[in-house]
Amino acid sequence: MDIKALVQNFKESFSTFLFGTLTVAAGAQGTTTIAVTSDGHFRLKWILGSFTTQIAGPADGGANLTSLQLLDNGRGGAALWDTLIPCHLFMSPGRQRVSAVVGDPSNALFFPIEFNYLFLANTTIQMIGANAAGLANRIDLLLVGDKIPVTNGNAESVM
Amino acid sequence: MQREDSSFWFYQRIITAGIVAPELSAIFNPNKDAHFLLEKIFFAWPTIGAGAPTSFVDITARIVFYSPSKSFNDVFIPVNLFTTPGTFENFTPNATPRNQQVLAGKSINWPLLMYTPFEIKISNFQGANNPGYVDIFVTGTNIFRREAA
Repeated sequence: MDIKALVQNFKESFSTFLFGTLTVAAGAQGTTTIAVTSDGHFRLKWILGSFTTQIAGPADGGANLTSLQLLDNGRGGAALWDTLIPCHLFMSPGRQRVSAVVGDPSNALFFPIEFNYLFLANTTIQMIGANAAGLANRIDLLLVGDKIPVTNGNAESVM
Repeated sequence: MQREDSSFWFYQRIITAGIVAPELSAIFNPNKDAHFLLEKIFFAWPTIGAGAPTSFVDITARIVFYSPSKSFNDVFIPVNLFTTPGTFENFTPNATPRNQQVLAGKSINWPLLMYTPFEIKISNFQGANNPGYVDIFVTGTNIFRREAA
């Protein structure tokens, strides 16, 4: 193993996770941001996440009533997909049982879905969530990809 | 500066309950600043019946492209053959969640030029096995215009 080559490759890009969490009130929409720090652009490769399925009672209904959309604030709020998409369609299986509420266990293996997108350094990713249930639900989002360190060569060279 | 190609998703919910039309259409309009490579299509639908839910639905789908006008599938195909498993547990408190499954879509891999919409037709929903709605989820890649060298 060539340690010099490994170090050099690490300077050019390295794997990282970005995480965002959003608890959305009953029958409402909510929003939060995920920061892409100034040290590098973020090349997104995979998305995975989980959602809770609480309903009024309180109870755990087991069925998803949340949806999510991501916007790229580094490109004027450009949408990564065309509308709020129900979370169970891309967070598969996705359901995370709520503790202290009666319901069946989740026991789920979260399967990542491929999504290729380049976020610019020193920008933010907007998470917009909606919840049609009668109780608040939480959406956790994990973005898996590579950080590309900003250098004098590439700081100005991407859109 | 050349913008890098990036993934893009589409979604629509088609309400099938109470509809008497022979077929329903979901039309999707790709971004006007990029060509679109349609890669995969997923269908998802709720189970039928709260007491003893069944996942069998009698819904079929056909994908139609314009310019040139061509169908991906000439014959309507049952949606459960497009997506595995497709069904998800209906809204029943404390019911055994049957959603603990990985959704796998069908590869289409169809290139669409800028401004070219595509259509997904839904049919055969007037029988007993009507789930009430079908979710359509489309994944693909936006291919931005290449600048001249």
